[in-house]
Amino acid sequence: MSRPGSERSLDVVALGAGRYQLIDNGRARIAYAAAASDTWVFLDGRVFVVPAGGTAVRRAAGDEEAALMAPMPATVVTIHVSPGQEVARDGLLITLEAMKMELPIKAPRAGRVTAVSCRPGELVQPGVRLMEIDYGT
Amino acid sequence: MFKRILIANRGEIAVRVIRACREMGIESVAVYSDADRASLHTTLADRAVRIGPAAASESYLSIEAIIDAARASGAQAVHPGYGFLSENQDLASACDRAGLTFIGPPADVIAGMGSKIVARRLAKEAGVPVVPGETPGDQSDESIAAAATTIGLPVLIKPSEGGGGIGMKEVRDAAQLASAIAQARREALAAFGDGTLYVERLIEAPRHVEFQVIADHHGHVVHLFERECSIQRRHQKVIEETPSIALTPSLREHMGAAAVAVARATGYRNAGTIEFLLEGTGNSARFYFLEMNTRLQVEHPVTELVVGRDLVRAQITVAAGKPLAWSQSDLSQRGHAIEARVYAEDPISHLPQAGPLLLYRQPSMPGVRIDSGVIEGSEVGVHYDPLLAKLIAWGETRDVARARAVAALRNFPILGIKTNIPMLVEVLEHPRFIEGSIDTRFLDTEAVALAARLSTEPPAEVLAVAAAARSSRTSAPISGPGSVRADLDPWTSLRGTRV
Repeated sequence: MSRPGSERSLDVVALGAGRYQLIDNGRARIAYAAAASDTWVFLDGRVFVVPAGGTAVRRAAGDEEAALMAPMPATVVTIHVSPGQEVARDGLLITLEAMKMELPIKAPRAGRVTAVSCRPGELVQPGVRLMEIDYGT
Repeated sequence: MFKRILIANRGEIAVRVIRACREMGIESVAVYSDADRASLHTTLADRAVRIGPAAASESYLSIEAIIDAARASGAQAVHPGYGFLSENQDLASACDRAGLTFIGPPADVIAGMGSKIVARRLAKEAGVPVVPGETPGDQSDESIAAAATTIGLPVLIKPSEGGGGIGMKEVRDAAQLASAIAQARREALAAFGDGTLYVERLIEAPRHVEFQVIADHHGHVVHLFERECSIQRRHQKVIEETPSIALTPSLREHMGAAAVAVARATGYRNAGTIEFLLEGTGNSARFYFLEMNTRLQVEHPVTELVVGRDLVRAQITVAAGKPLAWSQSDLSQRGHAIEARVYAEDPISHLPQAGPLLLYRQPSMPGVRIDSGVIEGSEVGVHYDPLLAKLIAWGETRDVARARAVAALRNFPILGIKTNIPMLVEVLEHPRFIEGSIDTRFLDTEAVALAARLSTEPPAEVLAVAAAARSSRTSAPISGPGSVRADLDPWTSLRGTRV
């Protein structure tokens, strides 16, 4: 890869049907791309998801908000808490199941459950809020 | 020979069996759930029968629906594939009662080998060593915990019925026992409808080496050598190969003879696999019978490429009552084959992915075979196993096979959902994989390092391609080099810029 400050020419030629020729300092490679709401790019066995803004999507693994959303399409198996209940950090909130696997959703921090917005047996989509928690201050 | 076969499965294995039927001049009947109305297997077969809603329990796991479909379509035989009902003796006996041929072993053999108690007893009687373990008669949580303590930690707790790593829990610390037992029981009930648990001593850093066998109705049993399946995550195989570099010729011969002995002792028919754990290396290595899978394996293609035999064709031929066309001395290994399973899962978090395949292009190159259940435009759903395709590379040596697998995976674009391809490439290029010093803990031990190598921001060339893709989506037809239209998208300006 180029060193900071070094000169580098980068050319992209659309070949049609999602194929692109990438000419990087004279060396040609084939990349593939598909644009939906984000743009997906495949290059040399790696896949990148580039949002319209141009920066890469980062997985918010420790993100407090994301932890209470369904990370993928899944079925709600068990809801372990009810509104008003105090929960400890890492306390089990919900068990989801997808593709033969159990997926525990745990509390990112201690707090109090204010609302539960899913029910057992429900098929939930990624990004759907499952539960509201008040973390206090 | 059969005129028409119903395939009680979906995805790549249904496609594999449909293709074998077509080659043999046999009509194929696909079954599909509501989620699979437009799936590849449904549209590829000569006939297709709806068997129920998307939930597997009401479609692909419904024996009644499968038998009704077979009757309605006039099929004479049922191929169960792998997973779903493939190791369910009730399907085999329901086929018998309905006058259908089940393409697999007899129901009582499935029942026997499905029970770890019977399987181990038969293996012991055949003179084959087994891993210490038991299915406690008293199945209370306390009794399971007591059995674990007697066998000695670390142990594996797993469903007595079942396989594929589902519901299998590793326990190293007595404090984890209670939660592991409860979770294993729930997963066993959900997946197999039976919460009976089995406790087994955990062999540390073993290799997983299995032998393919096939038996006909005329007393012939042969093995088609081994497959090494040590690259696993959560007991789900990811990369398989044959030959295993851990086997010496003498050990291979012993294990092959043991596999045939187990198959004979059970009265086996059709294709099956004897799984062993291998401890140590060289001629001093010790092998233990683990279990027998009474069905075709996901990884059967590596055997097909190295032994040069078509296992699905052989399954159908044997089920039709014909004798095996090969004796043991006809069979030998030629070259090396490696299979990489392409899963719809995030390569770092391993979470299953669902969505449309916006772009899906299989590479085509010498020595590479792809068994796939999807095409571009397919919708990958949440209801079933996330296996999309298997890429199998053959070469005259392990290095050639490995290099071909890597080159093919680097040229296997799948866009719209994330797949494990980046992880497969990293594993196949890992120094430990290259030198063959792998065991079943490889992916766990290397997980952090692999994830770190995969978590990178898109480099400038990727952003340039993304910009071109976005602008070409809205621009006039592409006419040739340099024709990517410069519009208001700032990223388009990357084209031809110096960074």
